[in-house]
Amino acid sequence: MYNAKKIVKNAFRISKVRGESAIRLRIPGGDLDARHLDTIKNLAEKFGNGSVHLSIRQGFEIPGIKLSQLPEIKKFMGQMIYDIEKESNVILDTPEEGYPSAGTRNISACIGDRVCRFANCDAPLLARKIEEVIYPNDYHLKVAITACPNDCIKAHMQDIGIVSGVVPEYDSSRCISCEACIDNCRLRVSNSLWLENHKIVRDEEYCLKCGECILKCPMGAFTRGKSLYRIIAGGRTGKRNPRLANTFIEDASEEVVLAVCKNIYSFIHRNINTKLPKEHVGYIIDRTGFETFAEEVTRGIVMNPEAKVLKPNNPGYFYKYRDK
Amino acid sequence: MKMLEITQGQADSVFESLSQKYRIIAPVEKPGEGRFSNTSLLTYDQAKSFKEIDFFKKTYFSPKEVLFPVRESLFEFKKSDIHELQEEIQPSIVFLRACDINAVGITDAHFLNNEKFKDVYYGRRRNLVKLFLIECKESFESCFCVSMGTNKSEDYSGFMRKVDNGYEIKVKDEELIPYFSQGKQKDVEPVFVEKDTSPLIIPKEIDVSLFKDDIWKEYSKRCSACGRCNTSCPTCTCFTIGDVLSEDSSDSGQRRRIWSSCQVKNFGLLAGNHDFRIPKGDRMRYKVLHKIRDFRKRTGFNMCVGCGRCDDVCPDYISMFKCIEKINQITDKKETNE
Repeated sequence: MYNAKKIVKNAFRISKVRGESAIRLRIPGGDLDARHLDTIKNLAEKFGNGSVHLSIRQGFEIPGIKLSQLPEIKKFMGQMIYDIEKESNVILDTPEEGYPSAGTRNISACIGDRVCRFANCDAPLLARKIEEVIYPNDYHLKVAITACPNDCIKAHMQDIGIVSGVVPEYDSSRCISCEACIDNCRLRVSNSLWLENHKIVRDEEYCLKCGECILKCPMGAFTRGKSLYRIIAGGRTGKRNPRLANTFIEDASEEVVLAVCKNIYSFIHRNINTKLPKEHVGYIIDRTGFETFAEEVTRGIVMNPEAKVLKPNNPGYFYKYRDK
Repeated sequence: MKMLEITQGQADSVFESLSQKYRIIAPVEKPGEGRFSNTSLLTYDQAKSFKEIDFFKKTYFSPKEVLFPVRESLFEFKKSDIHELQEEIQPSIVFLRACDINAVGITDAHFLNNEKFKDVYYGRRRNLVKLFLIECKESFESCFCVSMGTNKSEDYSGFMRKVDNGYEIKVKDEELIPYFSQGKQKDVEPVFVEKDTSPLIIPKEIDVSLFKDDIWKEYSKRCSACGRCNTSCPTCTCFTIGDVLSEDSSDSGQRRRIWSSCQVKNFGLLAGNHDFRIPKGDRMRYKVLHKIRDFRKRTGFNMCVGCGRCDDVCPDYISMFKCIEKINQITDKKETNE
């Protein structure tokens, strides 16, 4: 009667209630034009049970819909999902038939520099740029972007996490040695700043590029230099060995971030265990080994000069604190 | 005196000829230099054209660093030898509003008329600075210059107003008149703001009993002691002295005076680790009463010009304006009781 596999690929759930389903809406970067809420409300009230579930990936799930009504529902929401994906320059050819794939999950992002003072980038915008590169791939992949190392979006629990950072540039002629940057870095970050001969010294080995010294400076002696990203990989929940993502590339440019996100699909394609219904990237990396992963995912990418591909089992997110 | 209207093209050539001699310091927008991601900083800096000058917005920092650099070298030393630095200082023209011109009057009082003591370092820069007035169409949200009596000034070399296709200019300084040979004659007079967004009464007498009042306690909780109110203020001139050593030597270097801030840690730190004014409320009291009481006792005028920058920049939304209002309420109550 119904093709469950096709329904799932079409981004609808198979409910525990026989004959029922739930709609899963992609909201790249968790950033939605408020006008779509009308359509979402109508979907829930007309076809569902009147409720909307906010998923952890920042998508909307509309439960209690009838499998028998799927064609009608897809027609009803076609224009909306077309419009939302178009914001990321993804053009759905047949939006009235629903989403073409569901394996690559919604890309989540913190609110970024649209609101947050700590943010080093426009995270929802970067989410859309990544959406453009990777959707509608169907391999199972979870990506999240956090605009600073506080990682409010939990990028460390994703297959691929993007942690935005900034290189602080220091102009000693504007510094009044108030030590606000030093105190903050010692108490809240990695203690990578100190005062020497009335000037601030920054230890690049320890600096996380969180940019908080820039925020703390009352003089503008610290300003924003280059925007660079930490790409972390292999974070996962799940039953077998849940764990945090490990640093994979440090100080990548935005171009490198996008290229890595694109390349990861050929890595999955080559190495996935096709006997399983689906396989998480973390398990694939475990099987191929980190070296193969790193080699295949960076293949053909021209790295920006600052970028460093790290070895496996590096200190990862367990950053070092300068113990002085 | 000369009053005229010039086109953008004429202004460009005026700028070029002025730049031969003067640095033109004015409000300019610096993209990407804001504290937060993807923001710009509107501040004082050397302008590359009149076009670059923002005539309509208030700057984050004040123009005071033209006269009082953040780190000023006073002399060089090598062991016990010292010699004064003969720094070549280029003359400047600074574009600023009436409040900031009045603020220059206050920094003059600090450095040049301080009980017969004249600060040579400030003095040598002051002599080489000409002030160009820019006007405010209306009071910015946080301003209270009318209440402070600093909304007007006649102490300027010239005045410049941005109009649709050029500039309206009034030049008073004889030295500058020759630069303005082109253009159409036109009567030009600056218009000054006559009304604050919210007027404020400045208390006339502030009794020392206010020092112990509870109003300061609130600031101990709210203030994070970042010092932005001081660094953005056009009249704060506290500094500290530091010996900055040469890179390659531990017995030679420069003695510099470096801006300080009465709100940040260690400002009140003395030998033996004694620190008075540890509570941030005490620091706030020290600052506010210096601005509207102590300085006035010495000079006869207030040290605050009501530019509102301290309110604009405070990350904790602490307001000088509100604080003065609170002081008013206390002094009013006292007066009615007596």
